[in-house]
Amino acid sequence: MSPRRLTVEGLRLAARRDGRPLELVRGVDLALERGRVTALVGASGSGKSLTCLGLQGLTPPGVERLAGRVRLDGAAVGPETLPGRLVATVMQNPRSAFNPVLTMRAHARETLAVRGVTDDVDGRLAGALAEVGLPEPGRVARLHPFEMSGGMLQRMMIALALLADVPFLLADEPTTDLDPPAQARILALIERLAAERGLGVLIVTHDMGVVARLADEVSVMEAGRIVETAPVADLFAAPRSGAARALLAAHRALYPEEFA
Amino acid sequence: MTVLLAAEAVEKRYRGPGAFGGGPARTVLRGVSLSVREGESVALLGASGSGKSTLARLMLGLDRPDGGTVRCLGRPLDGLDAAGRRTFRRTVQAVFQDPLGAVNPRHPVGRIIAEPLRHLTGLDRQGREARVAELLRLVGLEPEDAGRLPGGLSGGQVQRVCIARALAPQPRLILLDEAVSNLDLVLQIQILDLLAGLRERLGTAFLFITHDVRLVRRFCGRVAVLHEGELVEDRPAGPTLAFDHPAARALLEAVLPAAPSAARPSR
Repeated sequence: MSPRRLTVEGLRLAARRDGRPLELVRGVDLALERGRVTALVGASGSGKSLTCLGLQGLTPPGVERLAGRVRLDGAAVGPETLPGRLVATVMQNPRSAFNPVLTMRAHARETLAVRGVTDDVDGRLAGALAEVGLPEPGRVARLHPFEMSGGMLQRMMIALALLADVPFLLADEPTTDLDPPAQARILALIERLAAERGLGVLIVTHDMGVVARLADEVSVMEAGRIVETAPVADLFAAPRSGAARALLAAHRALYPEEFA
Repeated sequence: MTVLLAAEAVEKRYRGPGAFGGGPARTVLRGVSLSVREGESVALLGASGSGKSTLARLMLGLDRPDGGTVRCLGRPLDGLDAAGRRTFRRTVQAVFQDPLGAVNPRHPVGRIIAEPLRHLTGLDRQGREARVAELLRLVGLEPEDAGRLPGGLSGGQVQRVCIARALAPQPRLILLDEAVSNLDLVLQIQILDLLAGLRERLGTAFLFITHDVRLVRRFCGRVAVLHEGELVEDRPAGPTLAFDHPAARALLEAVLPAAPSAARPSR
């Protein structure tokens, strides 16, 4: 049976600066639940993206994992077992996540192979492309990354997540580089997949508009720590942390009509 | 008010696909006219692929139109002599989206910001250092940051260095091509507030290329919308923004909500 709940406890990550460890993620707890969208928000450099990587046991060069326990339905697992099997990732710059010399069909084949699936690649890919709203699957299957727009690649990333058939999706600023109509389509797609396929989603963003649109729960990060976790309506109505209040103030400055 | 920069019925085509460009040429801009006057803040809005950045490149003289003219202070960019090009560079500065790609990673911040001062102003070394310190403070960095290398700064800090460099020769117009979209919203608003302040104090004009309608409503006095290479809107902007063209309305309707919907179904 596939797990319902993914948690990380006490995640600590540090970079080495001048020989000394500099802690960038300082004891983060997060919980993802099937069918629900959790937003991880915070200013640039607060440690959101590192947390997203670190909870899957992935760290950029020069960053080490000091501590952190990952659990699936309460049972401890190694974080390295997550990527591709339990967790799929969508990133801000989808282009860098694709192999430039491989077609979309080859990417689909690789993704399915991780699950041990080798038959009916074209049929499965066509199904996933239809679900994310990319028409003409036969044509898309033959495309290379450079022949596709950012919005198409972002949808393709989500299609690959569907092919991986994972219960959890980590989306790190998935719409930051997209124009508003493309952004709206991706957010609607993520919302639908959470509702219909029971995907548990962690969405990393600095945009409280994305949070308002999509999130059920919100965790606010500041200087490597989670300073507040609340249901989305509560956070917007009564933020408790300074970090949340600053994010909301900036957000509301962009809606002169509503908050005049 | 003086027209600082104007595109007049510009056309741009890119050659077709294939090694020799034998395929059909693609028209990216069709008869686009857009001008920016002294002290104006104009937004250029459009979906991805609408031709915004191509128009920016033409207006900065980085690329030549296939038809039409770009003029700075009334003079066509095409016919500028060396002195004319210097005047153009001093009048119009630009900031682009990818800050790390726009600076020399081996040059310290102070040298990066002083670059246009060396080429475009008569300031001596001391004068340049004083101006660099002033500019660093203006964009929310410290004068001591002048000695740091771009690699040691965050993306947002490097972008502020690029903005300081654009401000350095006191241009009359700054073109910002998605220049803040990689920054977090708090920082975006801080920088745009800073630019709005400069506009009030010094009359610096802005051409602000973006796809975030929310920023346009807050910061721009006029908005032009590009759609598939054609200018489909050019009108005053403000807190209450409305469009007639369907493509422009689609941009407005896709604006993210201000608050979570009370009617959100519980999952």
